Amino acid sequence: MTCRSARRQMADLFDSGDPVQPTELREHLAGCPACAAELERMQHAVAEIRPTGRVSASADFKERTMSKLADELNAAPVARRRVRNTPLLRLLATAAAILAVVSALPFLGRLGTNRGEVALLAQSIESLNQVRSVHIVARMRTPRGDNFEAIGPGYDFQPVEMWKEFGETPRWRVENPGRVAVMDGEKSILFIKPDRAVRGGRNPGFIEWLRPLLDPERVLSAELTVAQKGDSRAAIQHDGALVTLTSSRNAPGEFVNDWVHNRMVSESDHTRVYQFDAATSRLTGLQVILHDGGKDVVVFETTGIAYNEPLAPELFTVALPDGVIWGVRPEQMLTNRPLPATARDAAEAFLEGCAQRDWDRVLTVYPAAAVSESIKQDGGGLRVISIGEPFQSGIYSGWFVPYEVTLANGRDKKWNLAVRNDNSLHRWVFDGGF
Amino acid sequence: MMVGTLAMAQDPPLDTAESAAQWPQTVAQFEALVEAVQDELVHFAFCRLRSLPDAEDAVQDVLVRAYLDRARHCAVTRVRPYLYRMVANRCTDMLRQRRRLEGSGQAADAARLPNPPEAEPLADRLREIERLLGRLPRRQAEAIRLRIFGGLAFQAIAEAVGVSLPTVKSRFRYGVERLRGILHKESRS
Repeated sequence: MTCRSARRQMADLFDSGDPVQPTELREHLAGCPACAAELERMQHAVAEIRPTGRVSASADFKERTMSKLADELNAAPVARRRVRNTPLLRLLATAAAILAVVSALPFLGRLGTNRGEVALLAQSIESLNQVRSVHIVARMRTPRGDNFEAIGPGYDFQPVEMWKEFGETPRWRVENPGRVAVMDGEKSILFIKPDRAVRGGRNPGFIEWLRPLLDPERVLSAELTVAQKGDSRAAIQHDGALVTLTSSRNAPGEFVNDWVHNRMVSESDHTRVYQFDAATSRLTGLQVILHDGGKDVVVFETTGIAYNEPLAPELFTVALPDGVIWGVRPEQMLTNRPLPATARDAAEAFLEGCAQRDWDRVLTVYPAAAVSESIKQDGGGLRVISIGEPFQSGIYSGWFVPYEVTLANGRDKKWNLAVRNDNSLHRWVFDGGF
Repeated sequence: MMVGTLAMAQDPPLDTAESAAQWPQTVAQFEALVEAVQDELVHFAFCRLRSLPDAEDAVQDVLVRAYLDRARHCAVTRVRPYLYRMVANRCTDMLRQRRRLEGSGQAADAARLPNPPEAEPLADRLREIERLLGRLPRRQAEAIRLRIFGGLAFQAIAEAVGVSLPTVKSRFRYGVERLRGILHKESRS
């Protein structure tokens, strides 16, 4: 190999994807000090422009991107509706929607014998395009005041109510006794009674598994997609005025113990029973049946679904109390104290901080502008009995840290704190469990 | 954030290689793609824009556009290099826009959201790197950025910019040689 051809090939030494090793070039470099020096100068130049670190996308980047996509997709049907004015175009659009669903039939096992019913339901995609609003009244077995995801067969039913107004800027509200989530078309707020609030975008994670119900026209296609992926078993039945879609699924993820399993809708073995009106194809009901320890318990059921009710504009606002404590992002949290390096350290900062009423220490892991009064009252002066080994379970990307404390009111509490560091700063933050 | 007694459910891990192997045709595939490529694309855009909020905006625009135009791109078999090219183009547009704002006397820097403090030292270093790359011919600088910032192999760069493999290698080599000359001249002065 000549020096000229060696220098021409030197770029190969900076490649990452070429499985062929430039052996001849390396042999030449070993015996040619001039070319070796040339390579060294190239390496030096490349080192001068190599970044010294990496950045990552923010923890909520995916959520914001999905929200932006949802906005774009929501905008598209509005534009399409304008051109669907002629009977022929409307017929073609309906046919396309039906075809899209029916084409999924080969993947759907038992659904394959019910093509007529599925085709009928597919029309809901088109008929629901005409829906201006939906109002859902439901009840859910959940701890009073908890989020929209926690369930348990032993809990009493709590009311859940949802409203959505469609149109160019869709708005919605979801409420249970402890929380109100509102999206006003531009931004959302989750109010956690009595004194905390969190801001979000158009498509926040506040309402968890309930989100699909706010888009009733997508319920069917979403369920069919899950069945198509093999993540659920679906069956459909046509009975007079009703079409019933039954979708059963097992909790995804691996569970090291029973801490998360069957305690949240998304991480439970359950069956969803949807009912559609055969005449209008509209969703008229949903029951969620939890399969827990050999027992089947209804943990969620709608008691009324009304379409096209006029909705008051005030529904899409939420009155916050004076001095409400806002949630903050990890990059906005205090850094005036040593930050925890592990899940256990994070739990310790929270619990020991409560024990000593050292609220600044609590704020090193508690993602809010201040510690809420309820935590101060319940946790202030607690006595830590033990903090156990962190574990991961199910599909949650954070860690659970077992703890046992005696609260200031004398009550013993044995529970698991949830902490996570899957944000762009990899900072440990408290995520619940107190 | 989850503020109740139990943690919010997260999506299960995704298969990075598979999700980036074909152009997303469903929302689920799109979500998997975002998960798979978000960090590397944001880093690549940050190297160019030196602003994390701007980099995220650029990547978000590209990803959403990628899905909206999915029918047009369904024949693309190697998604990742193509996305890099889209992000590079979007960054170029945003830099042009910034220059226009600066030219018209508007304070573009003041209008931008700040970087997290941890990203500032890297942004400072990238300012110096971009000053050097800005003195190279555009195509040579492009090949170097895709290789060094994006970590793409030369073959993937060739696919991304639509030229042959030898052309990409030549651009990289001539770019590095020219860079060497600039560094040498600066060290002497």
